[in-house]
Amino acid sequence: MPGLTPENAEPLLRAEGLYKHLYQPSLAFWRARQPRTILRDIHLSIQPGERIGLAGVSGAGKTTLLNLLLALNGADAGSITCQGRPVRPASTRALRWYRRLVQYIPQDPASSLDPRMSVRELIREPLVRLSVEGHHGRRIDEALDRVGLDQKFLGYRPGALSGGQAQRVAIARAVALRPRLLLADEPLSGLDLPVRAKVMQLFNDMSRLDDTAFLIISHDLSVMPRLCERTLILHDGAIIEDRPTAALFGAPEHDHTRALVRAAHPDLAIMMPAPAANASYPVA
Amino acid sequence: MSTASVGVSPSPALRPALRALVPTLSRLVTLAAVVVLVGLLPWLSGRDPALSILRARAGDQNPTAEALDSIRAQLGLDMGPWEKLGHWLWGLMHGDAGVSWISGGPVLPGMLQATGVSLALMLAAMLLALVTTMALCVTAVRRGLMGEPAPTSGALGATLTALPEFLLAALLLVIFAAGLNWLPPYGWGEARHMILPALSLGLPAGGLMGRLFSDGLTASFSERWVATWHVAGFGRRRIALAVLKRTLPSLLPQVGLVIVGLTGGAIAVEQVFSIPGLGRATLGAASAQDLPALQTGILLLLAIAVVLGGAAGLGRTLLLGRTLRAGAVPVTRHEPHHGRWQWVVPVAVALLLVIIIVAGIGRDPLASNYLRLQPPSLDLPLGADGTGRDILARVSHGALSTMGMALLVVSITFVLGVLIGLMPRLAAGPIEVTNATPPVIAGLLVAGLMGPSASGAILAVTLVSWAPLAAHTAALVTEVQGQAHVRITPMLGVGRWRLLSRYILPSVIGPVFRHAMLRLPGIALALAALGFLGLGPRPPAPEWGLLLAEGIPYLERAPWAVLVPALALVLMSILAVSLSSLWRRG
Repeated sequence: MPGLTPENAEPLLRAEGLYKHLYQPSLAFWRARQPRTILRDIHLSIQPGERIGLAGVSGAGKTTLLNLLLALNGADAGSITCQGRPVRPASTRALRWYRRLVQYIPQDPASSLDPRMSVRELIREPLVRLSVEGHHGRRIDEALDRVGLDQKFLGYRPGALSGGQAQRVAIARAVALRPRLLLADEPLSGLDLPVRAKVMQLFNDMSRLDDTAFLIISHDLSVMPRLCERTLILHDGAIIEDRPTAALFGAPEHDHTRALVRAAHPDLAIMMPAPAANASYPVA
Repeated sequence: MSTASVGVSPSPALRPALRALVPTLSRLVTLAAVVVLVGLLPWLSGRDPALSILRARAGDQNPTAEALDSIRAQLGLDMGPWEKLGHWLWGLMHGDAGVSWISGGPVLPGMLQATGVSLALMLAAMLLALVTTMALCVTAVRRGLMGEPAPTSGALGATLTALPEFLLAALLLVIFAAGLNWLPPYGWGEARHMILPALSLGLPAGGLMGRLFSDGLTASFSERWVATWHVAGFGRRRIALAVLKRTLPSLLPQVGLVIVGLTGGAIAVEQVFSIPGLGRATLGAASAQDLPALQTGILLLLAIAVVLGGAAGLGRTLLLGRTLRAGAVPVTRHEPHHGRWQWVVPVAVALLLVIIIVAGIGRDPLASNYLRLQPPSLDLPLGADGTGRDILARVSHGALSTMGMALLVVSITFVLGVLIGLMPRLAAGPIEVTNATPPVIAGLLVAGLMGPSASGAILAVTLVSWAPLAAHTAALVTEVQGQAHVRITPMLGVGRWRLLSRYILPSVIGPVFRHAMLRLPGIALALAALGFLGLGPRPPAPEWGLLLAEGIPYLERAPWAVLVPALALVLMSILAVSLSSLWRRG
């Protein structure tokens, strides 16, 4: 449990005071470009094995924050460290250590599989490219086992897989690296309900058995209670809530959170006061 | 939605601000390189014109070493390449483009006068093209306003586009000047002299623009907002104007290219109708190896092309304004309209060409076995040319040599296009400049460098033909980079070379190769145009453009000597256009 982690322990991933600005084209080229702040003063720390949810409406800055955490873009201010080492955009080679520790499951993972590669090649690709030591074949078998896919699928190409199978291949590709942290972007959207339940079960198992940490990003708050111990609410570029999920759902502190919770659980909403008139109502 | 911007990580070596400047820098560097290349022409060609200039100035003077040396010093031929380049640039800025190697007189005044003639011709052609375009769009606009937009750019536009200017000029000359005697075949100065040249230059351009516009207007009329405007009760005129405003920005770059293409077409047309314009003067300078005149001519032609292209670009910027800088240019969606018979025309034409080749391949194209201008008979199906050679044999062998050269050009441009297209930012300048350079201008440059030859024609057409393939490659690369399975590669530790060779190239090569093969007949026509203008293979090589040019003097006595190569070229043109429209429909 994260609550039991000693305060002085170095977290797996730590972000401090992150800022990101976007420069929009001006009305005329001789005028100065107007900066817009996308992220302001983001503090975040993730402990091993912890499952964290990050929620917010479209435009709140989720994707921008994700790109910073994946070292795809650099922050304008602030720092990110992983096990004490600084993380910032660099060459593929220089970031290998980080990619082995922190992996990513994209939204709609099925389309993230190269249609020309077989399942075996797909899962082996990051093992080879990130110079993972050890027996790759055994790792591939283990990963397939972990996501519950049969060995016979190794020779298949993505076109021959169902949506749920492709999803599990994409997760197996990340899992084969035995990462310490998985960043998942809308991992459940677009899945039918049985597959949804399986993926949630898989995430819970991995966190419990392998001590893998998760950061799950979603615009839909309703997935958080079943997946995440802690939930962060991102609103207009700032983190406005960072509390255990149960506490957050029980007593939202912020008007905007209340609106999000209401949208996720209409039945809960009856028990809560209506959001203030100025709170923006999320469009799910 | 949310992964939309998880892009391939930016190369850390280049800062964003600098990356944005790369295309502009690339344009400037390319333009500078072209000017330097033109400036170095005399040095690169390594010719010594001292003797011919001495002869031109004083025919009776003995060519002593001192006399020749003094001429060399006067012309600056003893200078090193860079000193000479600086001298030439300095002179240009002061209105001095050097002296002719033939006449010894200053080059610039005559060239400027010729430029005036060419501009008048191009203006007339543009007006004609505009009228043609509007005529071709009437149906598209009428159907669109009636609420049932349908693709209409039919046979008429395709027919007008099919004929390259040099061919249309030759055909018009045969029909209206030699056959019907309605209009004068040569000359300049009166309005009636302008009709045939303006037609040969303006009709193909108008046909092409008409097709582009009626396709574009039809696509815009099919968009949902038009129906909404109809329901809201907006007037027809207002809707038509809005549709035009919606269509224009996406077409202006192509319209710019068509207009720039007029500079190349004007050269051929001026040559056919003996018009004392810039193109003909430059062509004369190229074949006489009068390099200062050639330099000036090429620079003026390029300047006209750059100004016309810049005007089209400016128009687009003014129309789009802020949208353009935000990178949110609306893309007109082109509905592919598949006909079941779209393959019939190219296949039938290709079959006819094969029949011609097979019929004549066993005959001798070089021996003069027949009477001069012997009319067609059973023994000699297509007649004989001006020196008694078998025209069937020459057309058949010419098809093979022209197609062989075109195949070589296509292969080289395919490799070049893919390689250059993989670095879109760096290649922005070269792509734009070569796209805006008509093959004939490149042919002039190359002929000035190494004299007219088959390999020179191949080089010239290659120099300007890789650009569409590179642009296509660049567009495909951008598209592939946006696909989810490529966007995730940074996370998998896939490095730059692996990304290129394993992920991007396999998706790009197939479509670009098909595109390159479809351009084959068009490239054969460009080569034929160079041959026609005397910038390609030398006589007696059986090359189609050369055949046509050789036949023109015997226009009245032996029409078959012109008509046979002209019809062969018409077949090739139809093949080119039908294949290219297949390509555009995808």
